[in-house]
Amino acid sequence: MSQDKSISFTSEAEFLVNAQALEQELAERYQEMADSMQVHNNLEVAGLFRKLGNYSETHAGELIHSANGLDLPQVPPWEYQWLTLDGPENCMQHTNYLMTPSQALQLAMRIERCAYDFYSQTAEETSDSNIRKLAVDMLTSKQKHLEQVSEWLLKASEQQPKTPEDLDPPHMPE
Amino acid sequence: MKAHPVLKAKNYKSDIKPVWCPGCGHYAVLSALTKALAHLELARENVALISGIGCSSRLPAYLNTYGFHGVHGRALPVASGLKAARPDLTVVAVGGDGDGFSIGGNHFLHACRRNMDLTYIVMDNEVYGMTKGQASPTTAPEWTQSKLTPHGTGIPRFRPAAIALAAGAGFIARGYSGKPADLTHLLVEAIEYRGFAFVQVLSPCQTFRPEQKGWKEQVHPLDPATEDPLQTTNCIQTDDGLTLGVLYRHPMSVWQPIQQPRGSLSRIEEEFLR
Amino acid sequence: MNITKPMHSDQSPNDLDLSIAVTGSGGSGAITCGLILLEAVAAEGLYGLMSRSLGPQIRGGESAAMLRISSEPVDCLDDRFDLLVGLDWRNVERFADEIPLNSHSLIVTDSATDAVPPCLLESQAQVLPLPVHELAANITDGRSNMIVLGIAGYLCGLDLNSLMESTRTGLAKKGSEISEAAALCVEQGFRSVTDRKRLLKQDQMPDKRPLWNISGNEACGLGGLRGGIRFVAAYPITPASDMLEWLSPRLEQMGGSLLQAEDELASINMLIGASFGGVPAMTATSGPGLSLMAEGLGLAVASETPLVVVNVTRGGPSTGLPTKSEQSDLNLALYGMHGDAPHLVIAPLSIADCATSTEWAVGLAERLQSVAIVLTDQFLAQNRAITDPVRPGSFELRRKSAPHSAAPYLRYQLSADGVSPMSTPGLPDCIYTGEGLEHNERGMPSSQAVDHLSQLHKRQHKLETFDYGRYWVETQGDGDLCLFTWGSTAGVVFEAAKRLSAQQIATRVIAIRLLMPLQRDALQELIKTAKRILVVEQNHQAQFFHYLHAQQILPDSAESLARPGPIPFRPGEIVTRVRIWSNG
Repeated sequence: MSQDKSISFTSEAEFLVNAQALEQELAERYQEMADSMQVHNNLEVAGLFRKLGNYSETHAGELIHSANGLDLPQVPPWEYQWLTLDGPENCMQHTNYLMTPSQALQLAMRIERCAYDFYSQTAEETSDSNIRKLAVDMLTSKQKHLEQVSEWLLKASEQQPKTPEDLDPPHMPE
Repeated sequence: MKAHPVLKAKNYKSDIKPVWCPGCGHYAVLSALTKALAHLELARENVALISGIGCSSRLPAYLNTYGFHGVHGRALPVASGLKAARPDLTVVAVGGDGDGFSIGGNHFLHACRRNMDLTYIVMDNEVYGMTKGQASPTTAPEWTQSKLTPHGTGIPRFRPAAIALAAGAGFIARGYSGKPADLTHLLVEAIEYRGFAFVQVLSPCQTFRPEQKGWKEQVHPLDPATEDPLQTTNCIQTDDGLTLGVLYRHPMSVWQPIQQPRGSLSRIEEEFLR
Repeated sequence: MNITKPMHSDQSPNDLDLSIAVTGSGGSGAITCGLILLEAVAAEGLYGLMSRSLGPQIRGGESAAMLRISSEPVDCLDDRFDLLVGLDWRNVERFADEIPLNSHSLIVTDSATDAVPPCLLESQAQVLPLPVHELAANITDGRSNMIVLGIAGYLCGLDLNSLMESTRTGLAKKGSEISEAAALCVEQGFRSVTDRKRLLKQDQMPDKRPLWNISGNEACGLGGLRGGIRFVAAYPITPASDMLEWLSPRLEQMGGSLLQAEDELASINMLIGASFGGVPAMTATSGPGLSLMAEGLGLAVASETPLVVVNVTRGGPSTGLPTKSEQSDLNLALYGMHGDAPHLVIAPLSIADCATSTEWAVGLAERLQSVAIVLTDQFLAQNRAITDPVRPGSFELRRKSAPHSAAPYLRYQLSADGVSPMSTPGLPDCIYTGEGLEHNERGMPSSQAVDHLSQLHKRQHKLETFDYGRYWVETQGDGDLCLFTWGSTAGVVFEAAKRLSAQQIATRVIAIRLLMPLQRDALQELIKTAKRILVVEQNHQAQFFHYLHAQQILPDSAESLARPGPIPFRPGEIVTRVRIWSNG
C-alpha cells in the first residue's frame, strides 16, 4: 500500500463500514467504466469491467450481509482508511475510449491491489482479533480474485491486438 | 455518531449513462456529488441540479434528483429564480469554465454579490469540449492547440477565485477531480455553507487537454492551512491556480425572500378605488 | 367671453366630453396638476384618461399632462383639446403636435410672462390671459400649478370641495403646510375665474359611483397577481419599470418575491427557475429587453415551462423612442424565437383590460405550459384611466400536475391534448430533469427524428386545439365596413366606429386579444360578409396587416392604415378614412 499513514479501527463495525465502502466503490467504479465504454462502443472492455463490477457487487453484498445486526457508525466518505491517491475512487481518470482489454486488466490489477493492501495492512496492524479475522477472510478472497484477474491479463496480453485508432475527428454534439 | 444513512451515494445516480469521454474528470465530480448528497442525507426530491450547456452541464440528468438543463451560460439565473421561489430546496448549479466564466460571466459576478443560498460547481478544464476544443477564459494565453486561436489567445486568464472574492462571494473553494475524497468533503462544506458557495474543480479534459494529467503532480494544499481572511485572500490573489481546499469562508447575510403573505388581493384592489 | 363646447361633425357622441392639457417646464408641476385633476374627475363620478408627454431630462425638463374626461368610459384621446393651460411656454413646440387645437379651443396663459408661441396660435384658438403667477406669489408656499388646477377645475365644471380634497390627499406626503397652501391656491385659482362660463356645467355631472384610478402597468401587475403570479424577476427598462415598482411591495404582501436581475438574459432564466419550482412567474420589459430574452423564451417553450412576459412596447428599433408609444414589437413577439417555437401572444385592448388580459395570459401559460407574451405599449402602460372597477376573470386555468402513480413518470408524455402532467420539486415519485435539448417523452436528450417531430407536434397541438372561449376577440357592429385592429389602437377604433354610427355609417370592429395562435376559422367567419376591410395599427411596416395576410385571413382588397408613433391615433383620423370609403 502506497500510503504512509497507519490504519486503525476501534471496532469491528468501523472496519466493516470501511470494507463495505471499499467494495461498493470498486463495484460502482467498474460499472461506471463499463457504462462509459459501452457508450463509446468499446464493447470488449465494457464487458470486462461489467464482469469485474458484478463480482465486486456480490462481494459488497456479502459484506453488507455479514454486518447485519451490527450498529454501523457513519464515516464521512473522505475519511475511509483505504483512500489513496490511486485507489479505486480514482481509476476512471486512467481510462480512455480506445483502451485495450490488456490495459483495462492492468488497471483492474492496480485497484484490486489497493484493496488487497488495505486488508493486509489492517490484518497486520490491528490488535483486535475479531477485526483481524475479518480482514484475513477478505484478504484470502481478494487473493483469489487477484489471481483470476492476473490470469485474464496474461491471456489478454498474449493476444494483444494492434493499437486501436480513431479515423475520425472529435464530434461536436452541442 | 449518526446512524448509517438510508440512501447510499449510488441511490442518487440516475440510470442514464454519461456521454463523457472515459477518463474525463467530470466522472469524479459526479461521484463526489452523490457521496456528498448521501452524506448530508438530503431527500432526492428536495435537491435540484441546474446547468447550462457544455460537457459538464450534462450532469443533472445523471442524478436521480430534480434537474434543469437550460441554455448556455444561464445556469445561475435559473438556479437563483428557483431558490428565490423555493427556499426549501437545496439548489446546486453546475457547469464548465466556458459556460460560467465567458457567456455566463455577468451572472457569475452577480450571483456572488447576491449571496443566495446556492452552491455553484464549475468543472474547469480550460477548454470548450463540446464544440471541439476552443480556448476558454481560463485557458493559458500561450495555448495554441485550437484552430480558432492558432497563436494562442494572448489574453491573460480569468482567475475565478479572485474574481469571486472581488465580487463578494463568502465561500470559495478549489478541488481537483483527481482527489475525489477531498472533493466530496469540499462539496459537503459548500452545500452546508449558508450563502453562495463557489467550488472550482480542476477537472481534466482527456480529449483536448491530455497534458492536464500533469495536474496530479502540480496541485498542492493551502499552505499554511488557515482560514484567516487576510492570508487566504492573499493566496487567492497570488497563487498558481492549483491550490486546493477551502480558500475563503466568511459568514455573510443571505438574500432571503419574504414568504409569509401579509395582505390580500382585495386590500390591494382597494388602493385603486375612488 | 362666452365659451361653449364646439359642435363639429366628428364630435364625440358622449354626453359630456372634455379634453384638457397642462404644460410647463422646469419642474413647474404640470404632471402633478394633471394627476390631481384626474382624482377630482373620479370624485365627480366621471370617467377619465390621462396621458403625459415628457422631455428627455430626468428633472427640470418640460412636460405635458393631457386629460380627457367624459360621462362614458374613454380609451383614447380626442381629436382636439378644448383647453390648454400653460404654466409657461418653454420648449412647448416639442409637444405642439401632440396637443392639437382649433378655433374653438381655449388657451389659458399667464398674463405677465412670455406670450403664447405662434405654433399654438396658428390654430386660431382663443387666448385667456390670467394673473396665475401673481396669484401664487400672494400665498405663502403658493404654487402656480395649483392655481392652474383651480382654474382648470372650475372651467371643467368640477366641484371646488372635491378639487381641494383631491389636492390635500394628493399632496399629503409633502406635509400639511404644503398641502394646505396648495388647497388655498386651488381655491384662489377657482374663484379667479368664476365669472367665466364653464365648459361643463355642474348640472351635467353624473351621480357619484365607485370608480378606479389605474394605469395599464398597474393593471398588468394586478392581473398577474390575480392569475397567481408569485415570482417576478426583471431588469429596469422604460416604460415597464413602474409595473415592477408597483409589483414589488405587493408581491411581498402576497407572499411572493421579486428579484432585480443583472440583465434580461438573467431575468427570463430566473422566471424559468421559479416556474420549474412550481411558482407562477412573470416579468415586464420593453423591446430591447424582449430581444435579449428571446433565447430564454425558446428554452421555456422547449422545456414547456410556463411563464408570462409583459412587453410594454416603445418606439423602436434600438433605444428608439423610449418614452413614446408604438405597436412595433408585434413581429418580435410573434416571430422573435429561434426554431419552431409555438407560444401565446395576447394584447390587452384598454387600460382596464390590461388586468383581465394579463390574468388570462397567466392562466393560459400555466394551463398550456407555454410562454405567454402580453403585448401592451407605452400608451396603455403609463396612461391612467378612471374606469369602472375591473372584476377578476373567471378563467379557472391551472397547471396540470403530475399524478401519484407507480408508473415511471414521463415529463414530456404525448397526451391527447398535448399537455403533459408537470411535476414539481418536492414530489418524490415524479423526479425529472427539465430539458432544453430536444428530448423523448421521459426528458432524455434525443436527436431522433421521431422524437423531434412528436415533441414539436405536441407543443403546437396543445396551443392550437385549446378552446379559448370567447375572450380572444371583441367585436362591435355588423356593418359592411370592417375595422380590424389589436391592442391599444382598439380604443380609438371603437370610438371612431361609434362616431360613424352616429353619422349613419355602419361598421364592424374586430379587435383581437389573442394574436397567437390566431383563431383563423373564427376570424374568417367574422369578416366573411364585410365589403371593405381596414387594418389599423401603430407601426411603420404594417406588421399586423402582413401577419393577417401571411395567415391568409384577408382578401386582397383589404387596406392598411398603419403609421408609427409617437403621436397617438385619434378617432377623427379613422373616421375621415372610412368616410372616404362611404363617399366613394
